[in-house]
Amino acid sequence: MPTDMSDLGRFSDVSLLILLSLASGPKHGYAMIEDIEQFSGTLFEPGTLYGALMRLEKKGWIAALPAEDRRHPYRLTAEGAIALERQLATMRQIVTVGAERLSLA
Amino acid sequence: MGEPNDMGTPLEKSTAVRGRERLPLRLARGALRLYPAAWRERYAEEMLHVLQQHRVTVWTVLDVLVGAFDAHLHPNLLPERVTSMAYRIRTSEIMVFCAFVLFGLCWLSVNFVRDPLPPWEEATRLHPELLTALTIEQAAGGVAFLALLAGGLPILFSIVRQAIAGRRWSVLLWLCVPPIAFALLIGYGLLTVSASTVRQSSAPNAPLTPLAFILQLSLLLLFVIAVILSVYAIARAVNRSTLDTRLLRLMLWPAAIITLAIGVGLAATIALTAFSYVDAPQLGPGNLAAVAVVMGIATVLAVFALRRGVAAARYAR
Repeated sequence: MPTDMSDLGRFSDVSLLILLSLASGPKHGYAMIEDIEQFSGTLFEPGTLYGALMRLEKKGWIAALPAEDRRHPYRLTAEGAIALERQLATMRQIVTVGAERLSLA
Repeated sequence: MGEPNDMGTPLEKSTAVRGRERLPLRLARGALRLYPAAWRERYAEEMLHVLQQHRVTVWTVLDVLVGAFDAHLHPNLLPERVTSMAYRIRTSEIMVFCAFVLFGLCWLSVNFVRDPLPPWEEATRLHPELLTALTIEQAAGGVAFLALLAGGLPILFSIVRQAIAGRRWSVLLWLCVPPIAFALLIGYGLLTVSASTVRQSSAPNAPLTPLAFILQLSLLLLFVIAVILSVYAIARAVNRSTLDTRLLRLMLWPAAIITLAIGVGLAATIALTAFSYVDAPQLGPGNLAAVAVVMGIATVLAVFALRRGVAAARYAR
């Protein structure tokens, strides 16, 4: 299964934050919004959240757990964890390069 | 990845927000209806929960609208079609049921067409092919009815069980409509039976009195209304229930038998009409031809619905 986020288009940033939120355990939609706001300062609107959830489910990176009170919690799948790891590695590399170039300037 | 974390937000917050932002929330709810059906089946309730807890603003409404537009633009991303395919199978089976009811009305009409009976008995004695066609038509109706019981009872049982478990009384109320409608119809028939059979003279073939004619017509009209109401109520109850896809797929078999029986019934009625024209035109085969046309419509509906259901079942594999 591909682990590339590029085909998520405008949802790639949102998706990264969702995967990161789910890395600490399964959550419902609103719990994700709150968690993401807490760790990144980004407040998602529900339309954006569910646009990304739909794409992530389709890619098999997240999976819905049985519904509780008619809401499905979502969990990170093994493929989703790999995709997240790759994306974080890319970001770490960007941070390293950025830091080096800034110190050179 | 353990148990789900804290799943929501304090109720006080959502209540306060709801009071202040009623209109945007209402608009956002309305915008949810713009999403494709497959999306709504899967996510609508969840998103509604989120909206109820969220600080809904005009931007939220716009975001939901953009989300609906996005979902329409990307149908390939819609939640797995198993859900919507289950919906298609279910609606196909409802359509087969409607076709059965239409066929059933035609089947009953054949008995009315044969009134008065003595000329028919004479004709079938002289022309055995008439009797054969009539027997096949009647048997097809019986087979279709048995198949309906085989397919309908497990679905009915599942709906009732679910409705009781989930305290969905509205579903049970819909299921009460057919017995109530037919109880009222029978009551009306019993009350008017003496007045609706009065003839203008004592001769056996004398015409009915105007009042008796009106009462019989009203009984027929009430019967049609009761049938339509009952079919609608059953369709509503089935549509409001979540039926297991495996059960729905299994019930395509009885639906196929019903469709086959309807087709055989149609063929027999066409043959009966043709034989009547040739062998016994005094029986008035025009009425039979009209019945055959309506039966044809029922057959087309059943075949279309069955094909749709089978295609959906293949897709849902």
